[in-house]
This record gives sequence, C-alpha cells and structure tokens, in this order.
Amino acid sequence: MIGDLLPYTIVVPVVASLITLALNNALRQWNGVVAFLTSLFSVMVFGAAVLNIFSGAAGFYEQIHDWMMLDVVSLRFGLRADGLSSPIALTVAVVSALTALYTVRIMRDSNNMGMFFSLYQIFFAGMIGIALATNLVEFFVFFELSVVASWALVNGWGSGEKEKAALKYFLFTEAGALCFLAGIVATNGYLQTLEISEIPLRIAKLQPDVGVLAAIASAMLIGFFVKMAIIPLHSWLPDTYVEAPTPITALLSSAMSGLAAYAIVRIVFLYFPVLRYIAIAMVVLAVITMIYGAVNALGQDDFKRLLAYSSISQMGYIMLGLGAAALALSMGSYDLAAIGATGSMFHYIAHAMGKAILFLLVGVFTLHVGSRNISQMGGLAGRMPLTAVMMFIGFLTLMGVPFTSGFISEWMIFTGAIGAASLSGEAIKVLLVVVAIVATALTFAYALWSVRRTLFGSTPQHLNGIREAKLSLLAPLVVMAVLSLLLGLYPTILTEEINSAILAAVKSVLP
Amino acid sequence: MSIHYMGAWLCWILPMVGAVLTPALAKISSRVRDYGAVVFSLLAAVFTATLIPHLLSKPPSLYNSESFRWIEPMNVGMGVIVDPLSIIMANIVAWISFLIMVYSLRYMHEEPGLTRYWFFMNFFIGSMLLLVMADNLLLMFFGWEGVGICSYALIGFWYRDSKDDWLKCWVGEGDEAYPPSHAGMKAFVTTRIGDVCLLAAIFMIYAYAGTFSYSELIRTASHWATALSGAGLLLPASLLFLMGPIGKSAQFPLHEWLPDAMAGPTSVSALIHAATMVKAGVYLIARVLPIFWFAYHVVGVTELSTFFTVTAWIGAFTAFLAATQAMVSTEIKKVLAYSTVSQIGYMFLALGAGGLLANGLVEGLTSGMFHLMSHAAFKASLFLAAGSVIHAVESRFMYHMGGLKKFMPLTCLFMWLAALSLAGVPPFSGFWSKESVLTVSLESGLVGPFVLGLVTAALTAFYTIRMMGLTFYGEKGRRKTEHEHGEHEIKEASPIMYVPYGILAVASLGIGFIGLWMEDALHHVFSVAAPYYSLHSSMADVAVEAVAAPPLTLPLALAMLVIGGVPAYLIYVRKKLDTSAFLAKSMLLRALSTFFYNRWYINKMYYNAFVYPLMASASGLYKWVEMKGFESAIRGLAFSFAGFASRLRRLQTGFLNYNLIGILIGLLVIALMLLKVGGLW
Repeated sequence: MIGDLLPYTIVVPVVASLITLALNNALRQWNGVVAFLTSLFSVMVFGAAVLNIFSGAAGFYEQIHDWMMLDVVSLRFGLRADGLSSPIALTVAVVSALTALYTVRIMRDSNNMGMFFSLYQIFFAGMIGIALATNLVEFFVFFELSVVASWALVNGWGSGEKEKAALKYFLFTEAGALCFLAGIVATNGYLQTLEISEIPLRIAKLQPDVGVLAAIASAMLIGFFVKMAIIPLHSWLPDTYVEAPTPITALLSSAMSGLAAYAIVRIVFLYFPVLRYIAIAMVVLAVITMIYGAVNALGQDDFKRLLAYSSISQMGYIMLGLGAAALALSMGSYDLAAIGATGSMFHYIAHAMGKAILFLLVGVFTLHVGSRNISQMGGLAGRMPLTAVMMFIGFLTLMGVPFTSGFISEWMIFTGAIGAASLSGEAIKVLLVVVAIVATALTFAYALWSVRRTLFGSTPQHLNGIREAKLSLLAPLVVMAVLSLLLGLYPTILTEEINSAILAAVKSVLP
Repeated sequence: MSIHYMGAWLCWILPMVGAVLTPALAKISSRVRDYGAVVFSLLAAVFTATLIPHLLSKPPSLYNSESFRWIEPMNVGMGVIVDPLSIIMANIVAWISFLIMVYSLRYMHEEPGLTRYWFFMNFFIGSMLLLVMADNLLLMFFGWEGVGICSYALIGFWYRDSKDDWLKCWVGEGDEAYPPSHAGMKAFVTTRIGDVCLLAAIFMIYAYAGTFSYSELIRTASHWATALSGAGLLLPASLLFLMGPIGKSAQFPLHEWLPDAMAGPTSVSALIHAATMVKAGVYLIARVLPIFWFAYHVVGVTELSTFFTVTAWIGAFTAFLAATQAMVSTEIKKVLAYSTVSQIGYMFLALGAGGLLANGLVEGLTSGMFHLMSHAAFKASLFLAAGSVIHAVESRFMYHMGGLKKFMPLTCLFMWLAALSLAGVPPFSGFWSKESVLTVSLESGLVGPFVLGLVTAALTAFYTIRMMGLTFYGEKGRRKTEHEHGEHEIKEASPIMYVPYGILAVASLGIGFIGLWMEDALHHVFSVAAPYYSLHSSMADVAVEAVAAPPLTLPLALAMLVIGGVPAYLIYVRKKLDTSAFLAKSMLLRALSTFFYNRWYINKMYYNAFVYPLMASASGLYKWVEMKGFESAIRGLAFSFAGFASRLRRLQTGFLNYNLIGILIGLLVIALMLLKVGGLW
C-alpha cells in the first residue's frame, strides 16, 4: 500500500502545481492551502512508512521501473523509502507543509501567488525525489529540478538585490552540480552502473583503481560541499538566504541544504575504498566551517543574515558527523560509523525544526517590528511572549541543549567523532574533535546574544504599540517546537531505524 | 519499576509535571497557580523522604539502578540510582527547595511574569533531582543542562533591565554593574564552557568504556582506565571532566558568573546557592569520586593523583580568592555569593584530598557531603533573610542598611544563627563540617591547600560578622532615613517569609549540636556503601591503617575564628574601631581593598581578553575575510569573466575584411592539422 503510494508523493505536487498555476488569480495566497494539502499527503505517507519501519512491520518500501534501457546506459526509475530516506522525506514534507500554511498569511500581499506555489510544489517534489531516488541520473534530475525551481522563487519573489542573489545561487549550485554530473558519467563509464545500490557490488567485483575512484568521489563531494556551503564554497549562501522570500529561505536552509549531507551518506560512502583519503579533509573542513560560520554570526546585526551564517555553522556540525563516520568506516568500525552518520542525519532533522522556526520568525519580525535588524528590536519578550518562547526553543535546538532534538544529534555526532578519533590512536585527531566540541560554546554565544538583544532589555520608543503576532501565523512554529522537544525526549523513534538502515548500508560495502 | 524506587522516579518527575502544568493552572487563578507550584515541590520532597529508609537498609539495595531502554542505537537506558549519596543529596535539595518555594509565595507576590517564575522554579527543582537520581552520565546531563536553562531564565527574570529598578535588580557598581539579562547570559555562557569540556570528557570515556552508566563504569574501570591511560588520554579526560563541575560550582577560573547572578530575585539566589545549581558540581565529583579513586588506588593508574591534587588546589585557592572579595563587598547578596564560592571551594578541597588518600574515599565523601549539607542549610537561611532585608529597605547595598536590629528583630536573630554557622563558631554545624574538611586535607599531606583553608576560615569569620554589623547595627542607613519621611516604614517580614529561614537557621544550630554524631552517621553510611562503590573484594587490598592526623585542626580553627572574628566584631558591630582611619594610614590596606573590590581584576580581564576581542574579531572576520576576502574574490572572478567577454566581443567588428582574414587563418589551421594527423607533415 505505502509502496504503491510512493510515486504519488511526487506526482501529486507536480499535478497540483499546474492547478495552482491555473487558479493563480482566483485563489491568490489561498493557493498555499493546496500546497499544504499536497505536502500533508506526503507527511501521511512517510509518517506511516516511518512508523511501520520502526515497529518492524516492514523493512523498506521500493518501486523500480525501467526507464531507458540502451546498450551503453540502462536507466531505471526507482523510489525507495527505507529507514534512512523515510525520516528525511518526512522532515522535508513536514517543513514544507507548515511553511506553506505560514506563507498564506505572511505573503498575502504579494503578487502571482499561484505561480509562487506552483514553483513551491515543484521545489518540494524535487526534494522528495532527491530523498527517494535509487539511480544517480534520477537523483541528478530531481536535484536540478529543485535548484531551478528555487532559483525562480528567489529571483521572482525575493527582496533587495534578488536577481543578483538568485544568479549567484544558481551559478554556484550549477558549478557544483556539474562536478556531481562528472562523477556520475565517470561512474557509468568506469563501474558500468548508475544504480546506487549496485555501486558497492561493482567495486567489489571490478576492484578498480583507487585513484580513479577517489577522483570520482571527490568530484561528487565538491558538488555536495557547495550545496552545504562548506568553507570555502559558501559564498552563495548568505546573500541567497537573505534575499530569498522568508518561507523559501526556511525551506532552503532546513530542508534543501542538508539533503547534500544525506546524499553523501547515500552515495559517496559507497565508494568506500577512498574514504580513508577524504575523511580527514572532511573533518578539518567541518571544524573550520563550524567555527567560521559561528564567529561570523556573532558579528551580524541583520537577523536573517545571522541565521544564514548560523546555517553554515550547523552544516559544519553535520559534516563533522559524516567525516567521523568516514574515518570510522575506513578503519572498519561500522558501529561507530553508523553512530556518527546517524547523528548527522538526525541533526539534519533537528536543525530543520530549529532553523525553520527561526527563519519563519524573521517574517514575523519584518511584519511586526518593520525591520530585520536586531538593533531595532528589544524587550519583545513582554509584548510577544509566544514569539519569544518560539525563538528560545529554536535557539535551544541549535545550541544542542538537552530536552531538544539538537542535543541528541550533536551528542551522537560528537560521540562518533571522539570515538573515531580515539580509534585512530592519533592524539591530534582527538584534539581536533575536542576543539570542535569546545567551539559549540560559540553557538551559545551568538544565540544568547541575539536572544538578549531582541527579547530582553527595554523596548525602543517606536515599538511601544507592538502586539503579539496572530496565532494563525505562529501555529506552524508551535508545531515544529513541539516536534523538536518530542524528538529530544524520545529520539529512538527515528534514530533506531536511521541507524539500522545506515548500518545495513555500511555493512554491505565493507568486505 | 519496583515499588521501592517509586520515590526515586516521582521526586524528579513531579516537579517537572508541575512546571508544565503551571500555565494551565494560571488559567484558573493566580492563587491556584502559586499554591499548586508549591504543592508540587512539596510532593517532590515527600517522595525523596520515602527513600530515607534505604539509607539504613542492607547493602544489596545500594547502587542498584533500574533502567529501561531509552535511546536505542547508543544503548542508553533511563534509570535511577539509589545509594546514600543520592538519597542524602536529594533530600537536601528537595526540602530546602520546598522552603524556598514557600518563601517565594510572599516574596514574589504580585510581581509580573509569575507564571514564568513558577514554571522555571519547578523545572529547576525537577532538573536538579533528575541530575541527582540519574544512573548514567547522559541522563545526568539532561538535569545538568536543565539546571543551566533555568538559572539563565531566573537570573534574568527581570529581563527589562530597567534602570529604575537599579537598587533592586541590577548587580555591581560602576563599570562592573550588570543588568539581569546580562547576568543570566553570563551565567549560561560561562557554565557552558565548563559543560562542553565535560561533554568532551564523557565522550572520551565512552569511546573506551562503551557505557555511560555509573555502575558499569566502575565495574569496567580496570579495563577502560588502563586503555585510556595507555592512549595518554586519561589525565586530559579527567581534567576536562573537572571543568564541568568547576563551571557549575563557580570555581576558579570559571567563578565570575556567580557574583553577578545576584541580579535575580533573592529566592532564586537562595535556590541556586543552597539547593541546586552550584551544588551540582560538588555532587558530580562526589558521584565519580569512587570511580576515579578506584582507578587510582586499585587499578593503579598513577596519573590520576594529578586529578585529585588539582581538584584540591582549585578548591582551596577559590575558597581564599572569594573570601577576600567578600570582605570588601558593598552588597549584602554579593557577600553571600562570594561566600558560596568560597565554601564550595572547601567541598572541592575535601573531595580532592579524600581521593588522594588510600583510605580517604569514605572520609572525603563524608566531609564533603557534611559541609555541603550544613552549607545548604545556613546559606539558604542567610539568603532568604537577606531577601527580607532587601525587601524592607528596597536596596541591595549595605550602606543603605544599618541599625535594622530594632526593626527586624526576628530576622536579625535568625540571620545571626545562620551567620555564626557560616563563620564556623562552635557548636554550629558549619564549625564541625569545616573542621572535618580541614582534617582530611591535612591528612592527605596537602600543606598548601590546608594553610589556605585555615586562612580562609579567618577571613570567613571576618566578612560574616562584618555583614551582620553593617546590616543590623550602628547608624541608620542613608536610604532608610529617606523612608521615614514618606513612603513606607521598615518592619519585620511576614511569617510566610521568616518561618522558612527560621527553620533553616534553627536546623543549622540543631545539626551543630549533633555535629559529631552527624559526622559519624554519615561516615557509617558511606563506609557501608564504599565496598559496593569499589567492588567489594578489592577494597581489602588497599585497606591501609588510618594515619591519624595530629589533633591540630581544632585549636587552629578556633584560633582563626578569633583572629578573623574579633576585629570584625569590634569594628562593625560594636563600632569601637574606625576602618577609615586604618585605610587612611596604610597604603597596603588601601591597595588590597581596591584589589579585592575589583575582584582581583579577573572579571575585567576576562572581558578584555575574551568577550570584547571575540566580538571585535567577529565583526573583523566578517568585514575582512568574508567581505574583503571571499566576496571580493567571487566578484573578481565574475568581473574577469565579464572583462574577458567584453574583450572577446571586440573581435566581432562586423567588417567583412576582418572576417575573411579570420576565415583564412582558420582554414590554414585546419589544413595544418589535417596534414599533421595524416602524417604528411
């Protein structure tokens, strides 16, 4: 049943996108309800999949069809919802559904909302496709779909120098995508397969040259590094996130960017003989990214730009877990590798909840305060208590404080990282990870410093009449806050299946 | 979950439930919310009391944790640990918290934002009890950080930072004056620095031990401690571990947040100092002391002696450092805050010294926990009484007080009882527990910390009596005189406020009268438990004849009391001597006084060395690296493409002649290439 529904999680939004396009003027911002319903459909499908896999009722759901079978290349079109992809797709769907509801209110005065939601749903369908794809070309197609749709959204409905920001985003991401494409083509030529699941089998069978594999994996990694804005390939991110319409920023930051991390687990880890060469680079870049993003966030006055740098820093956390997993995997410890990778994937989910709350708050501030600049705010806790609580929970999630999902994910990432570093027996690696852990205090610094400047202190004169935002605007945020807390208290419902899916995957690659 | 341990679960679950229910109760009425919150804290106290019988039960119920599976892939359980340490600690925490909650009913009456207040107070108590009862480091860390969040929210309770309430809710004077929201943030960030180190240590231990559970850790200590030591990581891990308690318990070098935490309501200060938060650090060290002790003495990992020595030295130095600052403070709550830092230092000293001794596990635990207990009672009482005084005078400065004895006789009496205990006057509880700490440190052979501890005892007597003198004796304070012309009269606090601190003051006298017996009782309880901490059989291997310390500490401690107490009594209570005369004469005294008043310049140094440079480097990094570096590079790349394109475009002139020449050159090149490929050239 769920397996049969998988194609519809992509078909429904695509079809609905045509409907919203047709009803552009008739429904205006109410097109968002259509987008909400299509995402809700996916929420239900993947929610059911997650629960079934968790309870053991099913291992995974899969549908594979022949697509284009030629001599040189045989393509299959497959969708796979397993313990790893279902939670990821569920997160995308939840964030997308709640953001669509929020958009209905926050963008009610914008034009062409039918077209906006049409693109929104294509963007959403692309991300779901990325999560479920079983074939490299299919993956690439969905990847491009989401990039083009999001480019158009930034270009059309953004603020400030939106066209420039959109172009920058597009060029950077395309450059990365081309690197990834080069990796795909080389994989097809060298391993004679495009099926993701066959990569480890072919590697085991053909015993290819490690140097060539390393080139392939590196090309793919560069593509994903751009998407995750790993230093020094991050330049597109701040401008894009700042100028994009706030709901799209929320989707880009919490859903889109981290999918590259998911792709690393799904795809790059399969080129296992090369992991030992790239693992340490991943760890070092991760630590630099964590610190660089956090320190830059500390120096911002524009709340949206601050969150953009915070996103860079958080992608560093995710990368650290992946680097640690790669390190552990290259030393043959798949239990440890699974912990680090599970931590990263769970951090994707935790960060999605926390960062979506915060980015959506930017819209609330723009609406009520009339500015995104922190220096224009102050003492909002008394006037907007619910907004204040949401902001606090959002930041607590990023800070990785217990009782929020962020703690569980960071804790797993660091356990994996320290474990892998200790296993390597090199004190310098342990020291590097300790530095990374101590650097999390920087997240505390920028988070609490923002909270203090916006929520506490005296209220500036021009905000004397400020009132709490409407509950209909804040309701999506409340749902995400509750989810973050629930996952913080009982993470097992997701971590267990993610962990066993990753464990199964890495066990299949290790000889 | 067997019925016996219901209390161990419910005592921390109920306050958390109470916290979550607070907003709902507030919908009914504010009275229901206030009393409801207090009832939940009472329930917690009652359930901790049900654990007391286990204290005296047969050993098998000790160290017996029951857990259920919680976070699957990491194999982490959720369970409680019921042993003398957790039972004693939980009872101290829960009962003192309950009294503070009762006091809050009146003290916080009609403040705005009380729903937030009760939520965080109950969550605070629940987190602290969770920290105490947790059977593994991870669950403990939930409580540990929960305490951090609550302290942040409660220290910054008056988050508006209004200058009008300067006398009520700011802290400090001059360039070290901080508003509440700053103080809350400072507390959270400073303790977080310790916490991340602690986390790193926990991960390192987990990497080798594969478990977070205390009982597992001790069972496998010989395995993981040796392995960790072999990798050269045991000492770094143990010192990183120590940073967590150092931050939470405000020890040097992470002590600067606690004095500024006085910006919160006094009831919150009492909770932080007496029952929760700062005691968490001491508790955690006591909790892992058997593990490290076992690894050092039984497994024989010798580098751990450094860990114990460092713990003792940090404690002793902090005790001295904070006591000197308390001697010159102008704010009544800040005197108490410095005093807490100083007294916690004694507890660190006891635990560190105990760990060093082969037969010191029980003694260290006994004297550390004994001092924790007596400190909890007298410090809660002192804070609550100080709160009454501040409430009456409407100022936190002692120069606004003075001569209050006449107006608030009961508060004065209770505060004296607690103060004498703090000063270490026999037979109050503080005397016995301090004497016990000093004895352990002398036995362990740590001469430096012992001497620092002795000197601090004199300083403690001095600042305590000074505080009493400035508050209750002599001329009326400046501000109070104003009051007599208008506003309101100063009168005794209401019973709902003084009964709680009265009880605590009498308790510290009561514990004092049974002081020696109490110490023996604790000693007995811990020695029954000790074999189970350290694996029964191997205990015998290290049983060394107790080295009796020379009976020096008792007379020395008494001498210190006289040295510190008598001058303070003459100067501040009897007003026989004038300090300004001393200060005018001696430059050294003046310099010392300024030095102490400025917190040894450590606070300023931290701001100048860390906070401001970090903020500056943040904007510098953004400006110079991000904008001038990456951004310009990207721009340069874009411009160079654009420039290349525009230059290339110049070739497209449209003149036929140029085009023809181009075609000819092209044909020539193609022809040459064909020749080359064909091998004809």
